[in-house]
Amino acid sequence: MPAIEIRGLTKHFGKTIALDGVDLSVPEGSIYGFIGPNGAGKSTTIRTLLGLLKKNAGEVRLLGGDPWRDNVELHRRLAYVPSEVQLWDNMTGGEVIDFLGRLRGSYSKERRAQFIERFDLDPTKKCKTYSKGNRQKVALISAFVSDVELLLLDEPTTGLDPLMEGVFQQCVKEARGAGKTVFLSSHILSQVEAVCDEIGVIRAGKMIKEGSMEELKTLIHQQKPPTLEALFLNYYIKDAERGA
Amino acid sequence: MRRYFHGTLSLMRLYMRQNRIFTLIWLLLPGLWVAINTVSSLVLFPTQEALVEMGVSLIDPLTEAMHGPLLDVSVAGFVTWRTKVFLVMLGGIFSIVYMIRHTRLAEEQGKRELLGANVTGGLAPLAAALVNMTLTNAVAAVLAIFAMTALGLGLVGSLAHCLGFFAAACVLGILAGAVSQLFVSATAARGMSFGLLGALFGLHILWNVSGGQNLLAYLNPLEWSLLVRPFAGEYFIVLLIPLVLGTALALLSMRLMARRDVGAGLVPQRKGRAFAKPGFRNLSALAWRTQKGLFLAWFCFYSIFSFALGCASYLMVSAVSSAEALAGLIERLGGIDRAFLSLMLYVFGMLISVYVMMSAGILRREETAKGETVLSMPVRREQLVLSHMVYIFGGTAAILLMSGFCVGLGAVVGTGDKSALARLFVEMARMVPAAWAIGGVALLLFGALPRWMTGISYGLLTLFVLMEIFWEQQQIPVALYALSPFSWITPLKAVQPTAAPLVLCIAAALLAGAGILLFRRRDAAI
Ligand SMILES: Nc1ncnc2c1ncn2[C@@H]1O[C@H](COP(=O)(O)OP(=O)(O)O)[C@@H](O)[C@H]1O
Ligand SMILES: [Mg+2]
Repeated sequence: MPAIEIRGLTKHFGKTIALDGVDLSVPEGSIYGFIGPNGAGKSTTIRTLLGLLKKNAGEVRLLGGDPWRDNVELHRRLAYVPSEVQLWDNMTGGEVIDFLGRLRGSYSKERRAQFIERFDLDPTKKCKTYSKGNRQKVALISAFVSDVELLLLDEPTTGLDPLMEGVFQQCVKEARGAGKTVFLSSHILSQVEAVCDEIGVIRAGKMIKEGSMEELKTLIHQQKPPTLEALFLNYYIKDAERGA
Repeated sequence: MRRYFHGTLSLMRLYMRQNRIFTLIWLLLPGLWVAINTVSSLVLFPTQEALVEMGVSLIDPLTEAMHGPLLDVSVAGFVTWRTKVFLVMLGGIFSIVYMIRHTRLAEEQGKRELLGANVTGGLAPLAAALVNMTLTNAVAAVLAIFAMTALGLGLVGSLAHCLGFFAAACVLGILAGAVSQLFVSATAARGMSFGLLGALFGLHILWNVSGGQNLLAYLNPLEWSLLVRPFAGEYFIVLLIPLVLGTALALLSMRLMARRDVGAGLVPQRKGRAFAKPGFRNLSALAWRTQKGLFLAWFCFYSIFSFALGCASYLMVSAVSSAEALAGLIERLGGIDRAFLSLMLYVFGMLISVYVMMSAGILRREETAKGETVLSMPVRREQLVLSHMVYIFGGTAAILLMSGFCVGLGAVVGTGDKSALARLFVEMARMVPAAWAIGGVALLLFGALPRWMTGISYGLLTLFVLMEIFWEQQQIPVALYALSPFSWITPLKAVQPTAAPLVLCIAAALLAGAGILLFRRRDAAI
């Protein structure tokens, strides 16, 4: 059974159609790269998966449940890192990590110390003095220390430096090794190429390609130059032509 | 020299181009305020006799506590007396905000690092802010002098008056510049500066109430515009004190700045705790963290203020009783002593509904900013709302009840009438359901129209107050007025239905319930 199964998901904000019949399926235990340009609908899809947004049409299954109806039960089994992490100004990073861990109901002191060390975070600083990257680290540590089946990560590394990007990729692979499913939205192709098993490409609220990394690799080799970028550029152009 | 102050002029020009509306208000308001007061005094007291007769009767203990003694019984003397505290506070607040914005806040936001790195000397930002602040205050003072002389007040007295508030505003600004060298965050610097201003204001009131001469008063900026004696044998020599004090403080702030690194403070930043306290584990604990500042501030302020009001009530009663225009109103409220306090408590109750809206605003901010983080945890949406309802409803009730208790206690201390305590407490307790109904409205808006919640809620509050006024003037029907929660508790109605508290509570519960239901069904964290 897939960890996430979406069929024909549609979401409107007033007149804007943010999602227009999205279909995707995330196999259990895989790292799924969810790629698309800004405004494509990545965050909207993830927020719907969290039951924060109410869908207008379509079917959504998450860990075998309905994200809108069973949100409390499902949230116990997943961890989410938003793309714009905002924290409480007068709390320290350490306090936030402890608080979120206790609220979620699963976290261990050893793992906490280990991830704070790896991400090189000073947990005694107040959140208002953290940069965007540091706030992201707090959210990432909170997600990685939790004992959950599914990680939903929305462009989680936009504020991190290259060194931390490496740590992040390592952590994601370890999570897969521990049997977790990772849903990683991103617009950094090198990141996706480095860690993902499955790929879905979204543009203007529609999926334009879904498949395994293996499949894409063979397609990449037919490109000039043979890079993921070239392949996606191709897809975007074709999709735009079809739209026109 | 060059190393320190290079680029000061270009920074001054840069600062002048920023925040033009702010500067415009700062420049014009003092002159405007003096002009309005002068014109209204000229209308009110067309002759010297009228002034002596009426003006003196307007002076009651409360006004005296605020403004100190009236030095000269003339329109000019009256205007300077009435406007000086306001002018000093106004100039002081603008100067403080300005100084902190261009020193500590700019640094905190990293702007100074950019500027400091290439073109400007280390002290240039502070120097530019100081000079600009002084210049702006000077122009504001000159405009005020123009306004006063144009309306026929004497030049020398006007000069003394305006120099008084100019000196005070500048010294307060310079003080803020020095304070902002000490702290790493702009919030702390601002808090400290306004704390000092508040303390100076408290001393000002204390000295006025106690009367008599006090040598320390010469060091308080709020006293200078009195000590310079405008229109009462001007005593310009006093202004040497601000000159010396201002220069000393400015030099001190420069020294402090030269000695520290960019972004650092002289008071070291404390380290926070690396681990959360064991009890910090649920949404109630989180709501306390986010709501406690607002709640404690209102709670303490209202306790102290209510106690002071209770103590002083008998003074004010004597002042109000002489005003004939209020006789009819007082009659309706059942006698002067009760009338006055009832009315005051009612106004207090209305003011506290601002707290209701503010604490509901915190709930909305928590939802927009941190909703993605919190609502992706295994918590129900209504739990989030309930954790904040403790403050929107419980906090409001606590503030109102404490305020009632303190007014009563103050009245007992002030008048020795022991029955006052219970009576005033109950009177304040009756406001609670109305405040709850307002809270219900806020929650309904939170569920139904989250994006417009803030605007509509303050708009509605204003509307409710306006309805009160229109109803008093009998311009709107009672049925319409009944839509305002305040109409069910106003002391201006001779009798209220006994079911009024029940009606308000039911309305509050229904509105809040509807709000929660709607929140459960809408998109969250948007
Ligand atoms: N709360 C909202 N209200 C209105 N429009 C929205 C809202 N959230 C997203 N959108 C619109 O939906 C589209 C998809 O946005 P989003 O999912 O944030 O894109 P991505 O995360 O891929 O950059 C965009 O056109 C965006 O403007
Ligand atoms: Mg996004």
